[in-house]
Amino acid sequence: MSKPPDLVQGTLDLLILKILALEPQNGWAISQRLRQVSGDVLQVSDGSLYPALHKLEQEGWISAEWRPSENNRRAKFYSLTRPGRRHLERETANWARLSAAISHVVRLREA
Amino acid sequence: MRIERWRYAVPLRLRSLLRRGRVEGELDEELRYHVDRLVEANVAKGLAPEEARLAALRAMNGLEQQKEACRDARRVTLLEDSVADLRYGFRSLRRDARFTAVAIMTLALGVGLNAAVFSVVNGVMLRGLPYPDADRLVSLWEENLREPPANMSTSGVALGGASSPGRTTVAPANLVDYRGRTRSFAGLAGQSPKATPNRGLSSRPSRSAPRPR
Repeated sequence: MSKPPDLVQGTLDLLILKILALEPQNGWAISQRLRQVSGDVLQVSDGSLYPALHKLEQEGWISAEWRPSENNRRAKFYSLTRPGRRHLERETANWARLSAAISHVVRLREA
Repeated sequence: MRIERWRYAVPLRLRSLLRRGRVEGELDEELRYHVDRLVEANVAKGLAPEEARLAALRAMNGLEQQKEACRDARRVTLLEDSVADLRYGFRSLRRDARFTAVAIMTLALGVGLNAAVFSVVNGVMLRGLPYPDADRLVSLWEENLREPPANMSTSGVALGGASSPGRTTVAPANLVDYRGRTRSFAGLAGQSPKATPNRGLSSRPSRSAPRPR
């Protein structure tokens, strides 16, 4: 329910962590960023972003802070914690390994 | 979970439990902010305000469901639900006195029976026998390995153990011999099925028995 079907399981977390590694963002900005950088290929429904954010926060990978946003209303800004940054590095390495292996298999020529 | 992550996680859990109203309010505010921004964006795209609002709510993919999923992420729902269940239980008990009485009686009966059975088991099987060095007490008997001869008919009963069909009564004279020559035991005593000591043999272990080496 909380994960969009066309997103590989577990990759939403990785995307969120990566975007937050660039700079602290609020939920709305994260969703906009996701849409921009993926060129609309990765569709994350606006709602399902929040359970993922709250889960990451509870895990201690990201922390939240209320701050005025660009339209002067206060918004909840998330930023990467130190353990979160290490987690991101591990997950990025995992992802590179996994995706390389899968591309390799997919490109096998039939004999 | 590593210690460093606990530094972030533990205050959050405590906050979810103790400042529940505040945390809920923040969840509302956070999602409302997102919906409002979506409405703004939709209006900017040229939708009518009412339509823009509906489209925004649709895009949230079930606002209440998402909130529930966020609450689940806090990992304290189990605790909160259990507390709610307990409260509900107490309320129902207060409401129905007859049911409460039956429930309490059932519990009392169960506890009482358990205590009774345990005290019997404890006395008979668990606690040591009321003799000095009870943990070193063993029962000995003679046993016929083959078919017992027809003229030797009585069977012995072991101390605290089941009798086997091959066991026989130890003749008093044999007991005297065993007692005199044993090197493995500090002392030997006979036990008679009758309550009174008979034929001069003590039914209790003799205190003057030599101590083991």
